[in-house]
Amino acid sequence: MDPKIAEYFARITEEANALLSDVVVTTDTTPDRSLLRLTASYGSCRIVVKEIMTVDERHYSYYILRGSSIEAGFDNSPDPEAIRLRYGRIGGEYERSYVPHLHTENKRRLQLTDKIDFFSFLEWLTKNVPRT
Amino acid sequence: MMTITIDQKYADLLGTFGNVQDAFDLAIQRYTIEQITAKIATLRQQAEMYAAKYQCDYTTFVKRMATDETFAKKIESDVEATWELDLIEWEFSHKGIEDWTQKLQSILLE
Repeated sequence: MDPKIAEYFARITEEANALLSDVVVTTDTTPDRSLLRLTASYGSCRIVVKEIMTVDERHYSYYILRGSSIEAGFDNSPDPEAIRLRYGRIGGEYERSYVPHLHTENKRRLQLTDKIDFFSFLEWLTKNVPRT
Repeated sequence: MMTITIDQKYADLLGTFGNVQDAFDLAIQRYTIEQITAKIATLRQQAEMYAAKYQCDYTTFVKRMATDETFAKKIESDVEATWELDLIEWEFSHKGIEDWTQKLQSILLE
């Protein structure tokens, strides 16, 4: 694993252990990319994090689940609604567009965001979701 | 070049088959190929699991999710509301197969 990626994953694990409970982290790696999977508890919410890193790309999904409901989910997947919001239309030319966005209200609402990292996600979580 | 230590009994045994360094290089190459092949098999199994779940291959899925809102809505309502989490795993297995295959080819062509 690239040393910078290994360091980033180690910091994620450390921060998650400081703020969340029942933290389980696993990683996998290939010659060109690394994957981090993290699950944890935050009050009655379940936190599910998956992140792929290469030397120059980062794709992430940071989700907060309450029972079967999606409390919030940050990701930069090629979501058609996010692509339409960003570019005004969807189409083949945008199929590789990783548009950062946030889902709320069990995915009934979507808003565009800046590209975030796990630490910004934790900050948002602790500010916006009560630990109940 | 890295220097490593090997058990004397293996060095002695390998010596009976010829040059120790050549034998050791071949052993390392075979072991590496075996490990990469196992890794590719695991990733292929994961990719096939997602292909079965979403009824298409990775490339088709990414293209349709980004270009077909009806397909995306149907996936969210009928298959997986948090498909984005699956997509990360699927991307890793799909691209990971390519990464390891290229590495395997480079070893075999040495």
